[in-house]
Amino acid sequence: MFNTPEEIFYSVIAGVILMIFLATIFILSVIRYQTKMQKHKEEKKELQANFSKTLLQSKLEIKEQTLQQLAHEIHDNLGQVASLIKIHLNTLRLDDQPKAEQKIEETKDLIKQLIADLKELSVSLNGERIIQLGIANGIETEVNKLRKIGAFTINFIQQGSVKKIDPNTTVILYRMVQEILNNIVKHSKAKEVDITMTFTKKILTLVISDNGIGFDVHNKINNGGSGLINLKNRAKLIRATFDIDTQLQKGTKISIKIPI
Amino acid sequence: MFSTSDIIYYLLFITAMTLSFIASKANIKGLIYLRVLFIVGLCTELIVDITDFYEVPLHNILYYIYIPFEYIILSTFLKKYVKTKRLHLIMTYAVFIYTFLVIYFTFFYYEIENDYPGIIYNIGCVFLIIWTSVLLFNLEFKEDMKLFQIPFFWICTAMIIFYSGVFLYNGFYNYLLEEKTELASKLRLLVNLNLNYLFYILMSYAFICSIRQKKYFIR
Repeated sequence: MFNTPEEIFYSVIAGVILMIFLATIFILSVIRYQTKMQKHKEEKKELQANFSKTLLQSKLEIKEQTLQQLAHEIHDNLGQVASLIKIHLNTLRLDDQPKAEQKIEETKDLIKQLIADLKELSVSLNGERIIQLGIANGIETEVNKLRKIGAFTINFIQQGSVKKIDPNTTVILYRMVQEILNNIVKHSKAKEVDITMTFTKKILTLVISDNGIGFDVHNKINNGGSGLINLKNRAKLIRATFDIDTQLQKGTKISIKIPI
Repeated sequence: MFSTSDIIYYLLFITAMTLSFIASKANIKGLIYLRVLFIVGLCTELIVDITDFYEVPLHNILYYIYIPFEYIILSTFLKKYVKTKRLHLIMTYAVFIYTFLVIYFTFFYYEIENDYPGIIYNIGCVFLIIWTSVLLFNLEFKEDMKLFQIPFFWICTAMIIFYSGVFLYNGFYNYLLEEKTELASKLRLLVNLNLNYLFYILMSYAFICSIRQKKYFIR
């Protein structure tokens, strides 16, 4: 194969150089791979940090909203009933026994209502209680509260066997539902609201639809609609998808899909 | 007795060995194995050169001991960086397979006094290149560090380049030694020595990296 020592010499040298060249290419590819991995790790860390930040922000927002809700409830509902009780007691005339007895009975009823409202409020504010009740019962409580207002017809349908979901997810989802229902009450002018909760093996789907005036999603977001962005962020936190299907005068349909 | 290239070789060898004793144990797992390898390697090289000078035909016998020893020590050192049980087990089995092959080639293939154990060396080369490649790809380090600051990266680089280079040369060495002795020594001078220079320079840099890291942590 090789005739002269020179041929052997140069062949061996060329072979060795080739081997070293291949080794160098390999090392360069390792460097490239490791650099990519390092970058990926850094990105992952940044994402985790962002996620924690968003989580904290959402928790603070939820807290703030809860306090706002508490203030509204105390002012609009509990305060009114308490004032009514006070008026009843102030105008109570003991010399007119039949009227006094009637007023005392009415006051008793008002106190009963006040206690019931307080219980309801306590349930809706207490995250721990929501976890204990479960998402389905939590939503049921909200629905019952809205039925009492009587502003619209509200239907709540459950499909599939109820499955236990993560406590954090339960609370965040419940707060999302509360916010969506509050928005319906405040802005939708709907006459009918439907809530469908479907449990499948791996996914919980929650659909809330109304026949209200609808809205322009892009317009809302561009005009600083932080409520919608907050809802989307919260959905992200619980690894859920959040879709809004709405048109002006054609109602709104919100779908949330959460992996169980 | 020693040529200029030999002196450079020994200087680089001793520098790398000295640095291995200064290097940080915390930053190079299994550093003790490298220190042992350097001491035994230096002793072997010195004995080979001295016996060659006095024309005592001992060097091949020494290589039959040193080369398997080198593989086992380096393999044990690399095992310190293995994180998966499977690879650890494979590397352990490989030591047994290698030992078996060493015994076979030493006693049934080669004439110990005349032949250089090229095949034994090359089997070790293949195994070591595989282990270092796998370990380099799975190398994990802190996010605030760069790959070039990791001593193990430089050790692996040194090993991959050195063993890839000598692999081809070793295959020819025995043939050349028999047929064209002059060419064999010429190639040894050009290939083996230069690869050794590169190997010890890279190893020295790995040890320097480990010392720098120590300083960084103290600060």
